[in-house]
Amino acid sequence: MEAASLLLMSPRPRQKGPALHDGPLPVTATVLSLLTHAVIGAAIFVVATQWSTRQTKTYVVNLVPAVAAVGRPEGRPSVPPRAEEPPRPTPKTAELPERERPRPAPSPPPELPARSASLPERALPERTLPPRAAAAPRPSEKELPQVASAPTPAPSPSASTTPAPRAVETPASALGQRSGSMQGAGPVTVTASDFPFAWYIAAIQRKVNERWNQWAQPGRQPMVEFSIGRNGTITGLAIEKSSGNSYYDQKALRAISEALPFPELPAEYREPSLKIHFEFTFSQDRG
Amino acid sequence: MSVRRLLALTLVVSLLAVPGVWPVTAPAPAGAQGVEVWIKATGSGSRKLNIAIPDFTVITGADPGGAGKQLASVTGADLNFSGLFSVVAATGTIPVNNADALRQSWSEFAAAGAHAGLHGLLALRGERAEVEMRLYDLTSPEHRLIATKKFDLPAGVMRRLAHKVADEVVLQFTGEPGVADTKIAYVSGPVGAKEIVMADYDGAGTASVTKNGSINLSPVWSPDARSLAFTSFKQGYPDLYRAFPFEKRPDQTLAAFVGINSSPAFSPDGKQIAMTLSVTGNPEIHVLNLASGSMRRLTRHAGIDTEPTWSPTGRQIAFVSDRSGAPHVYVMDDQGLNVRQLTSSGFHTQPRWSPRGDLIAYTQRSGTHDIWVVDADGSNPRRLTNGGDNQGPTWSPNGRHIAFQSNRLGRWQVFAMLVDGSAFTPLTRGQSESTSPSWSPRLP
Repeated sequence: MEAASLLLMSPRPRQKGPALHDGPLPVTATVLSLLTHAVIGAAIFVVATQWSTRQTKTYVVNLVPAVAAVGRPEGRPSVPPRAEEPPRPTPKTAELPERERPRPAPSPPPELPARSASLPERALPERTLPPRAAAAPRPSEKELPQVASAPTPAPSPSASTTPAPRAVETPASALGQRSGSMQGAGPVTVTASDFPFAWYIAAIQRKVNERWNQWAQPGRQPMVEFSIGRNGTITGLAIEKSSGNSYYDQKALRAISEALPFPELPAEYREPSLKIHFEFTFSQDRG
Repeated sequence: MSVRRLLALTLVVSLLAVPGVWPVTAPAPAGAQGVEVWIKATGSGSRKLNIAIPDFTVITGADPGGAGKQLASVTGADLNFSGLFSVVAATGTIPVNNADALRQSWSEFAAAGAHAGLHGLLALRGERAEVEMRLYDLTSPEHRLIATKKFDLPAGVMRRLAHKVADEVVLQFTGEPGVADTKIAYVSGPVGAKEIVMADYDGAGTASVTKNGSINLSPVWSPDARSLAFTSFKQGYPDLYRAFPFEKRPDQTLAAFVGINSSPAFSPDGKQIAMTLSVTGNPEIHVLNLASGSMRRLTRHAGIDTEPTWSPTGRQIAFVSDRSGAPHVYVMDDQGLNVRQLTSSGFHTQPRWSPRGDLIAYTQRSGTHDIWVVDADGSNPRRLTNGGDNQGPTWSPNGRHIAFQSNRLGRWQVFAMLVDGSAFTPLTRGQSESTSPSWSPRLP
């Protein structure tokens, strides 16, 4: 086989040896090969460029459902400690509640009670509402003309003092915990600066955590992915890495979908969407 | 030799073409590459967000009444109530147009643990009051501006400005507005004369809804927050009416049949009202079409069927029936079919479907009454209240809070709690009894 292809490539007799060291380069074959490589390379380049422009930024959120191990009592009660290694729920997506039953055929025309003949004159509401009375003011939401830059009256002595934080009503534990994020309960490390909206990531994480705290179990953990559009809606919600337990995976998906809606993407972030990888975890640090 | 050059060139082209080997090749529009940002969270994200709210800065007009301070205080109370924020107390105001002072203030608040800062700029122009709110991320070194928004209202309803600012802050951090700009209607008064009144959700600014000297019961807000349905004895019998508290407009009679006319519940689209009528002999659930005036009957059972409540989709109705003995919560579709029992073993009344649709709150009697919630599929019933007698749940429009009446502090008053039963908060105070609350949708 090999010999055959070699014969095809080179007009020289086989006995001259497989190595071409003692002959001139097979120019035709080499040029053909180079051209082919160039074409394939260019194709990959184009595809890769196209593909990469369609990719949005990717963020990975690592979610730990701890109940403030170091926290003090706050408004929210702590979730009761879980039993050691609770039994894993059997993988059963059918357990998800059925929200709506199929609609049945309409019932036969309702029979009205006899006295209802007197109803219309007494009971029929008007179809349209009259204009609202002036006594019921409604927000007009009209734009303020340049409130911020309005001429400033000379600040009174009391008004010109910059405010000083008087007291922090939250537990003191909050004080030492800021670590460059709004997360407020532990380090959130954002390792790239091209999405400098830590408060936004923290807001997403906070909402999902609210759900996930009830469901987290020890063991292998799922990872889900989705994209957030400009208006905060999500698309492409899917399991990225299974926990090996489809029921548990479904819980992770529900933690996302029940956490909706998400805030609109920050106005200063110009991309059409934001790709999120959400890593769910279980924390042993339960109070 | 030219062949060698060609070879080298091809090698370069091939390298360029392999993504990752030569990442600079893509003439990337910003962020076009699959940039990965790793975020690692190692704590509970459910903890509250600390927000600093200095007194609002008055930039136009005189403020003898201390509106700047009051607005900051009301906004802070709203945000604390939301259960999502913890307000970092502050003294003084930030002077206008002073970037250094602003930076200095936020730096100090950040050092004190604040994650966000809210700066209000108040313009008092006689009849009108205008607020511009500016929300900052204090966790970023440059105190990044998250959002700004302006509100303009008559000066007479200044507190509403604070509620609107608070709801906007909640929106920025959760994707859905808060519930501070809402009303609570409830029944007020001693036995013998019960009138319906309404107030801001936090109990401030009460106003009359009925003034007929009779007995008025069970107010329920319409989905557009412009009207209330209620039962009144003003004609001598328990009949159903509709009041328009923001308009000069007489009450509308909804149902005045022989027997009981009670338990109104607006459909989510506001076009129908489910109610209990006993005109057919025993209490059954009927639905009134507001546009046509037609009435259709949903339940046909020898037992008592009452207290309907719509699912947020409008396709199902939960109600109370004693068809199995004690009263329990049942669910049927909007045609009265596919009836299923939701709760059992106990004595359950006053079901209220949550605005999110996932939960149904109800009152369970076991000696005293307590508020419970159950998943809409009937699973996981759980008790939320403890102590005294607690009845009449009503959901906040975002489903995060439940208001109810309780006598645990003495006379009946309206309280609120978070949906997990925490953060018990009094809403009404005063000498008269306050019962049967209904939490309005967000005001238009």
